[in-house]
Amino acid sequence: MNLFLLSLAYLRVRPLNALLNVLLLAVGVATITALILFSAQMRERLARDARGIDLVVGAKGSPMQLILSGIYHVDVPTGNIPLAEAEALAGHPMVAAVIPLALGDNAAGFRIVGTVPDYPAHYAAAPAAGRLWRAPFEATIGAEVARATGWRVGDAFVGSHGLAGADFAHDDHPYRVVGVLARTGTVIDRLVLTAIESVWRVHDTGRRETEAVAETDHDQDDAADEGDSREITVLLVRYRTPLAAVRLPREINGRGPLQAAAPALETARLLTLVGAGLDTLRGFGLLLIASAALGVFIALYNATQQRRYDLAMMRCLGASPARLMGQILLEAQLLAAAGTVLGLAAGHGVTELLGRLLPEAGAMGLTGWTWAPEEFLTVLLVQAVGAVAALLPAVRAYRTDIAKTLATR
Amino acid sequence: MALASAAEGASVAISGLRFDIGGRRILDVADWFVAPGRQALLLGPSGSGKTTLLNLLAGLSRPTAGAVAVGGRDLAGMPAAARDRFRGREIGIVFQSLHLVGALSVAGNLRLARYLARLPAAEADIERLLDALDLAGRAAARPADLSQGEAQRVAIARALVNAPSLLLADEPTSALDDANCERVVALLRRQAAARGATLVIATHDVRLKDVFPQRLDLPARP
Ligand SMILES: Nc1ncnc2c1ncn2[C@@H]1O[C@H](COP(=O)(O)OP(=O)(O)OP(=O)(O)O)[C@@H](O)[C@H]1O
Ligand SMILES: [Mg+2]
Repeated sequence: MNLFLLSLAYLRVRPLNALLNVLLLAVGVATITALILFSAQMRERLARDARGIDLVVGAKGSPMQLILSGIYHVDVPTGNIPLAEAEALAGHPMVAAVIPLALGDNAAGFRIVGTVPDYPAHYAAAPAAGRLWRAPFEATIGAEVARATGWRVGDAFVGSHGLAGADFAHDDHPYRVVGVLARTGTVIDRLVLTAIESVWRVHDTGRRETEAVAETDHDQDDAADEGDSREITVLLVRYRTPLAAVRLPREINGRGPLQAAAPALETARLLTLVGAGLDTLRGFGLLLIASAALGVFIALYNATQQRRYDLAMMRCLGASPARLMGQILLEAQLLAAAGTVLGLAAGHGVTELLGRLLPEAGAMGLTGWTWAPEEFLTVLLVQAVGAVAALLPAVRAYRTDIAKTLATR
Repeated sequence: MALASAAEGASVAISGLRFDIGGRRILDVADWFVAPGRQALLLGPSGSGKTTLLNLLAGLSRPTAGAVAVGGRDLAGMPAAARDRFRGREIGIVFQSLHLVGALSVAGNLRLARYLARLPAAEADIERLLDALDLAGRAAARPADLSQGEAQRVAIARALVNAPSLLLADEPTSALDDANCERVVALLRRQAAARGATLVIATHDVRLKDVFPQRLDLPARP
């Protein structure tokens, strides 16, 4: 016999009541855990994909859209920009390095990105098999693309027009896989990389046919048909000097057809937008924990009333008041611990499930097989809440007047 | 002095004991001693203060004046925690309402008593004790499933499981017919004697009047 067994015995007397409180706690903890995991991984992922990119330059439109399409490859691009403009910007004295990206097609739902070897190098992505592309229509695919499609070095595939799905296949321009990149945990894992020329060539010959389809980005292609009609979609820029952060965006946005957006600014804005929604859910989770705490409090308060003879008897049997108090506190801690363990497991499980079932969450690489430091705070919070809920009943147990209690009835 | 020497070796020693509640005198006992291993009766009508006196003997309440010593130790003089521990080890109590812990089995109630007195578990002792009290088959039963007589014997077993030097029983026979009254008193006396424990029974049951060698009569209070 010990306080632990005694507390268990008391919990077993009212199993449904205990179960209800544990479940309430667990749902609250699970909600908060899933939110913590989600926002930590989203923040992590947003920061990792944008690391080292000071500015994204593309066609006029929403700066958020430019960032989402240019860095994270989730939204549609704002349009294309003339290559000549991009090259002029690359020579700007405040610009240290640029990476051009040409978008427009997808392969099996993964975006085909015409770019230069600097792009995978920026994310420290090296081929795990094969090599990087050298000629047009050679493709080096990201790790996630390889996993999802099963493509290997030597396989051929065709791109489809648009950024997702297979609405119009470019059958006449098959690509050949020449390399598969090692997994990096960045956006590169979900991209098909090729030479910029591949994208140009597909759309030079494909233009006549696509006019009927009238895709936005192709309309803009047409507008710039005269002279050097070559275009890219975005230019990723790294500054030479911190001063550029102040001057360069203003300079670009102020003149000509280009638009510049700073990832730091836009991701911060994005996090604020998402954060408001997350806060609402977090409040909901806290509310559940609070109601569970109230349930624990009421259960224990009633228990100290119902068990006042037991408590008095235990004093007679030699228990100090502190020990009775400890027993009540332990009972609350057991409920809290059960709710926490169950809630953590459910929170991680739900997160993992979302990562597998929702394509958007999967694209983010959402997984339940990790933890965030804030989870420890949740554990502490729930234990503290349990202790607070048990405090008054425990004090009541401490104060039991033995002689008086045992004299009644 | 004769009084002092009687107090010295006594298991229970009361001197000048008074207990008031709200200015009303409930109990007034000048001197009373019970030698170790002896068996004594507290006899008095309802309201005469028997339960009050047992509570004082167990250190569950403090006297208004006077002293209560058990095994030579003054209860009021001990720190609260020490008194709790002393009570757990040295004093076994059988209450009128038995107060078994309903969440635990019969054996669990006995284990709890040993645990709370910080004594090591003694499964063999518990088994023997339940055997001796005709409870051999009931170790796993819940108190709610016991008959009244069985429950009373469990309460007695629990009071004895820590091998106390003093066994107190409050009205153990009030609800029993003559045959059962005799059996319970005989059981208490036999078990106390077998363990060398001093026995004090509080009762208004005059059937017990001549059974005990020593008796304290408490007068009725207005
Ligand atoms: N906590 C209390 N507050 C007020 N009065 C009390 C309290 N405890 C006991 N009394 C009073 O003290 C007197 C003695 O009570 P006690 O319970 O000791 O009597 P008793 O001899 O055990 O009676 P019974 O045979 O009915 O059990 C009674 O008049 C009772 O009303
Ligand atoms: Mg009484």
